[in-house]
Amino acid sequence: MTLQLCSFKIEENLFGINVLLVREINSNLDITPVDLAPPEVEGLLNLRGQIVTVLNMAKVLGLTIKPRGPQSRIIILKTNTELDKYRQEGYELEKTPLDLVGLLVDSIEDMITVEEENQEKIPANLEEIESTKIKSVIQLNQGLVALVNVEAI
Amino acid sequence: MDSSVLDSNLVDVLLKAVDKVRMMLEDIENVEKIDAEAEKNALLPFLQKEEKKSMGNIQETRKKGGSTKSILLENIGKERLDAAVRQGQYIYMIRISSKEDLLNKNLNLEDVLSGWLSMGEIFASYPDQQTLGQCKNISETFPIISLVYSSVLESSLISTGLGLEEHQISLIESQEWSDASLVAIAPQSSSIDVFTQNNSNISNSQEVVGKADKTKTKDLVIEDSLRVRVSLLNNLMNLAGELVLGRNQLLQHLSLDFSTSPVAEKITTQLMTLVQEALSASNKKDVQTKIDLLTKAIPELLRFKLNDFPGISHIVQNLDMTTSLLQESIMHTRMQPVSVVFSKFPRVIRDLGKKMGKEFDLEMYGQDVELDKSIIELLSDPLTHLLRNSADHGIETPEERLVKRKKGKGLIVMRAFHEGGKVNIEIQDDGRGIDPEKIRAKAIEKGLLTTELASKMSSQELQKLIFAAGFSTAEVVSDVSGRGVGMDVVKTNIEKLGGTIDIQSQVEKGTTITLRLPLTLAIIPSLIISTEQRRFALPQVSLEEIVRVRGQDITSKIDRIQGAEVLRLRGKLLPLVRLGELLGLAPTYIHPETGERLPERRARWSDRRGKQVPSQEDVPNSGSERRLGKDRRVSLANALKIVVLSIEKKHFGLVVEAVRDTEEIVVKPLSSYLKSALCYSGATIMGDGKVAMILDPVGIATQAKLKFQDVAAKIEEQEKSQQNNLESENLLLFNLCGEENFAIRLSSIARIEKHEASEIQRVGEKQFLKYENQSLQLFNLEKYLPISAPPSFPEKFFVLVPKNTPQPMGIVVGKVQDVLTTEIAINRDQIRAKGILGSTLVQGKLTLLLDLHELVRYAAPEQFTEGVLV
Repeated sequence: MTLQLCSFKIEENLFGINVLLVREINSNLDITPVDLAPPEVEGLLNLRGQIVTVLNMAKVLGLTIKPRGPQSRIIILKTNTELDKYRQEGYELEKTPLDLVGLLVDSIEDMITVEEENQEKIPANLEEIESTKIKSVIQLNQGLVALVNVEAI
Repeated sequence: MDSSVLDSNLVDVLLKAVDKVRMMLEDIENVEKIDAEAEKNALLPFLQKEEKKSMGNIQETRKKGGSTKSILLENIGKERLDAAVRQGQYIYMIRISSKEDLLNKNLNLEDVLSGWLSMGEIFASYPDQQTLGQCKNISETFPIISLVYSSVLESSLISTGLGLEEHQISLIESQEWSDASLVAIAPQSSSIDVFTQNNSNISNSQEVVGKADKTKTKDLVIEDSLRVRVSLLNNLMNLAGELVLGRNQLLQHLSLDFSTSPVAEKITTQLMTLVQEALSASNKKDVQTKIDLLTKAIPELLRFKLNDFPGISHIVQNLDMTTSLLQESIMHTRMQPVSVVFSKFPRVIRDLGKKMGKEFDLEMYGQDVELDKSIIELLSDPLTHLLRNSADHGIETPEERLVKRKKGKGLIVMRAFHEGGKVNIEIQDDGRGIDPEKIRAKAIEKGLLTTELASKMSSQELQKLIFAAGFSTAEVVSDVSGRGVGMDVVKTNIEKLGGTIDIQSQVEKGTTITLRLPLTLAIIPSLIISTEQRRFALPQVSLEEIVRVRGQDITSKIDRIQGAEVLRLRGKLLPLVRLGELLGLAPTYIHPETGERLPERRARWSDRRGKQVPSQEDVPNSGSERRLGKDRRVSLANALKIVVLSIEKKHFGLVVEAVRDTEEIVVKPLSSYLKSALCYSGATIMGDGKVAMILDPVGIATQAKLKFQDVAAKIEEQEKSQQNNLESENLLLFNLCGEENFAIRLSSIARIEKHEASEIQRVGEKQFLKYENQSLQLFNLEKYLPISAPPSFPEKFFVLVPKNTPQPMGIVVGKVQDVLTTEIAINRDQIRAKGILGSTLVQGKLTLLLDLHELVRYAAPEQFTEGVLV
């Protein structure tokens, strides 16, 4: 089975998310901070009248937080109820949050098509990243891509 | 059907049966276990009676001249008969005498009929076959049996085939069921409808039937409707909101001056370079001056607004209108008429009446008034409760009513109507009303009030006590009501919906309970506040007041008790919570000279930096503030803004940086990630498209770890002292232009406004002012009271707007003198007139105390013709 990944970078690390889980990618960074919220919550975003909770992926993955730049993007995930439609068509998909959630990343990279069999376990030396948040890694020509464990965020 | 005057017993049985069926439908899996035997047995006698009646109808029809034959033919329907003929069958009319043909020959009807069925088909019979099958004594009940029989057998053979005499059988020709023959009997028979309505194959060419059908279909014309998911509607609402936002931004941009836009700048620079180039090519001086003029003119030429482009304004206007309409219509999709709730009340009242042996008339008005679906759903229980109260406590027993010379049937009126952007629902009964004396006694008995206090309360105040928890005046607690929990719950529920509840009652005349509800729940009025550059919305429901403490008063008014800050507010201690601090925001202040936002270094507002040892770092501007005498604590911008919030009966103050505006906001729920932040109850999208958090007063109190228990004792003390104040009145003192001094109870006034004579608009003799987008009718006191009129209408004047008037009205007042709390002794005899309560001495001056309620009724009787209680 081939898997299409939407890939993004945090620091110099390449991460991927199953593209079927992605609702849209947004460059609107007008995020309202929420005080007293858990640290990984960047704030709230108005997405055409719906409120999206934006999580800072760098914080979630335990990496250093860079200030937002012109390349910063928000990957907005489909809600779990939206995914039911695909599940009925036979796709096996991970569970996403029930509310609208966006992931703030440093930059968006290309779409990557990979073979599902090529997934490997996380190497033990990937210690700076919170290993529970990563499902597997896949070796590509240009390097490793880490698959984000959506259920853990 | 005129025969179907329903008797009350039958309705009871039917309603019970419907309930059972509904129960079965709800629990369809266990339908076998539900016992419906009682209902069935109760229903059967009625059904048998009805059956006899309908049989009687046929006989009646025959007497009136319509033959059994034509009725049967009609029952069968033209099409079926025609079809049979087309298949080569003959239609026969058969009459048999049950006595001679069956009994005497010792034949069983069933056997006979089944024999006949082998040769043809029985289309119809009188009596019908089912009745025949059940009837035990045919020969006596039905001496003659008529049948319409179709068979391929010719008339010569049929009699032998069926074993009957020839005279018993007659062939029916097709013209007999053609239009003419059937119509001919129709007008003679009123009961023919019984047949036609039961039969779906009626020929539609019949006049009578046609008419009946038409009236039926008229009732059935319902607007086409679709079932739509609520989530889809919410989505639409969101998008419409976003469209409104987009429109606003577009409008803003269109009205910008084009010359300031980057495009204009680009055009200017390009033109300039061109001009410069041209200039360098030719060296003539006059050319240069002309070109200079041109360069100056260019920016002027670009000074236009995109709005000014021909055609654009009306496109934009159109877009503007469409967007507003779209949003409005989408809002309306969530609305449901109150009839959804009201429709079940006739049944409730009926059942209650039966149970309690009382009789009621329930009148309901304004059933098409619409409310948000979520409100409608939550309204059912409170309304049912209020209705039960009216029926049980309010309306007396028929005997009691007769003694009081009231109609035996109690009247309960439910009314829904719009007023001032809210929906009012009234429940009015003509029962015994609420006796304030009874409440007084009960309240003292239950220890809710002291004897002393109770004796001082007005009847209005006493009546409001029925909303207190655990209060009931009913001597007997029935299973319908009287347990004293209801009204309290009703009140909390209505308040949860953002509504209010009010009660007006006159002993022996009746009680009116008024609910005022917002149109929708999704939109709540709120106060927009800000702190440290963050914007928040605060629901106005919990908002008590806004207090501003001037810079120089901070030291005297704010105290610290064990590290907690409290404000002395009208003799009470109000715990304070600093919003910025609570949210963990670094405090900042705006530098009074540079306008910059700088980090705050004072720990408390009352701290004076000068008292500390000034280090170089601490006073960067070498103390210029102090030298110039501008102490930051004293400046106007530095006053403390305190929003006083109430949670149930507890109050606290929230210190914010700025109070911005009031706005109607759409509440959006918070995601699960933010549940740990207690301070927020939701989020909303502001007019500029940004998200703002909605503050939750309860959450704030929890987060700030406010301990109300400590304060509770103090509050109790304060309440006592407040109650002592009840004996004195808050009076508003004012003058017209003349000598007289007037006073009015402050509690009866909604607003005091200042206006100029030029704002008055006149219609005939009446004068109006614009007031909150409504017209406010003005009244001059001198027209209604025996007082001296002012020589001329004053340039500037005040308008008192009384509370509780159907239409807003204003009383023109020359000068408002004072507001004071005082004990008054009214002399009711010295000066008497309609609208004057009496005279009293206030601050040594003779002052007329006006009765605003009476005055308003006197001045504008037309507003009160419908008997609105004030």
